[in-house]
Amino acid sequence: MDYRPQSPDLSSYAPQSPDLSGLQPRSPDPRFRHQQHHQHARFGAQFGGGAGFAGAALSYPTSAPPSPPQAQQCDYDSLQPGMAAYSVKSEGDGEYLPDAPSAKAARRGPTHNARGSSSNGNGSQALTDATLGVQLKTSFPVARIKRIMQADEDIGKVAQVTPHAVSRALELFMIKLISSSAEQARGNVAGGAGGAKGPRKVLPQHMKKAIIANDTFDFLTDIASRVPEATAKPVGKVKEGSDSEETKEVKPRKKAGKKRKDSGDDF
Amino acid sequence: MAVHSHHHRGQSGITYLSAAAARVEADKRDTATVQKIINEVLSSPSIQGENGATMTFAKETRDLLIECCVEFITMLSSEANEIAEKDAKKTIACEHITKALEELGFADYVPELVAVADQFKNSQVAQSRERKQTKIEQSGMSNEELIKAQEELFRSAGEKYNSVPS
Repeated sequence: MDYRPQSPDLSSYAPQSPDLSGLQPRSPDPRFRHQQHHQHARFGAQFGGGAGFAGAALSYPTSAPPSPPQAQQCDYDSLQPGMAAYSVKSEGDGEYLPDAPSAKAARRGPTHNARGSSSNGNGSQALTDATLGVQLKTSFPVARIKRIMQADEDIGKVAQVTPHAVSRALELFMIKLISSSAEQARGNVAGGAGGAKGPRKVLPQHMKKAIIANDTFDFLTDIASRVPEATAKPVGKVKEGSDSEETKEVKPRKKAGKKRKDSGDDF
Repeated sequence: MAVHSHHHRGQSGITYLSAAAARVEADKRDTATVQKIINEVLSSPSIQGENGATMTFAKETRDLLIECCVEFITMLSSEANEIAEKDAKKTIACEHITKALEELGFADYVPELVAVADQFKNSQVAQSRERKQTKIEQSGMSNEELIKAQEELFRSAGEKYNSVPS
C-alpha cells in the first residue's frame, strides 16, 4: 500500500521572526548585548557550590537562536530534525566534579528571551512556547538539584552539565504549574461578581485541579490526593457569599480535614 | 510508583521518600528561591489576567509546589538513569535527560535544554576544564614522566631553598 501522508498546508502559516531589537517589553536593549559576558557568570557562579540561594538571582543567559554548530561534532544521533545539534562528551570527562569554590560572579544578568515561540518555524509548530512568555531571573541552585538527584541510591554519576539542564527543565515545569494553578484560581472567581479587584490567592485546591487537568502532571496525582477538598475559613477578601471557590466543592468546614502541617496559617 | 509520606521534623520540613527509600528534606532555603520564582511568574504580563490583577500563592500552595518540584526532579532523574543504563553509560548525560523528557511528555522542553547544553560547552567552566586536560595531554609525557618531572622540580626547589645563605 502506498503510504502518502498529507503535509500540512503551511501557506497561511507565517511565523514571526524574532525581533531582537526589542526583545521583550520589559527588557531594554543594552541587557541583550551583555549576554555574552553574563553567560559565563552564570555557570561560574552556579557551579561553585550553590551557597546563598536566597540572594541568588541567576539569570538565564541568551545568545542568538540556536544554530547547529559547524565546527563541532554532532554525536547526538537521536536528535530530532530541527533541533540544534550538540556533542556530548564521552564517559570519562563528563563526570560531575565535587563543588569547587568559585568567586562570586555577578548574579544579575539579562533575562532570557521566549525562545520556543518564534525561533522554530519548521515543523515544530506543534511545540508551544514552553516558557509561556515568562522570563525568569531566578532558578533552583544547581547544587541543590544535584543533591536531590543523588538522594536516589540508584543514581550514580552525573555529568557536569546535567544539573544545569535539569534546572532549566524545572523552571519550565514550574512556570507551567504555577500558571495553570493561577488559571484555576482566576477561573473560579466566576466573572468577578463585583469583587475581584484585589490580589487573589492561589490555594492548594487550585493546584490540585491543575494537576488533575493536565496529563503531563499525572506523576503528581499522589501528592495532589493529599490536598484536602475543603479549606478553613477564607481570608474574607472577595467572599461574596454565594460564588466563592470554597463553597463550590464542599461546604467549608472550619478545622476538618486539615492535614497540612502549617495549620497555623489560615486563608 | 513512589511511596510518599510526611515526617514532622519539628520545623517546616517536608520529608519525601522515593521508591529507592531515599530522603530529600525540603530546605528552608528552597522556599525563598521558589517564592521568587512564583512572584516572577505571577507578575509576568503573559500570565496576568485581563484586569491586570496579580495573584499570590498561599503558603500551603507554595509548599505543595516545592513538593512537586522535588518529585519532578526525582522522576526525571530516575527515568534518565534508566535511559543511561540502557545506553550502557554510567554517567547521566544531557541527552539522557532530554530523552527522558520526551518519554514523560515534556518534549516541548527539549529545545530549551539543548540551548543550555550548548551554552555550557561555551562557558568558562567547561572551557577551563578542557584547557587543563589538554595541557596535560599536550606535554607529550606519560604519567610516570610527569611524576618524575614533578619530583625533579620539587627537589631543585628544595636545593635552592637550602642553598640560600642564612
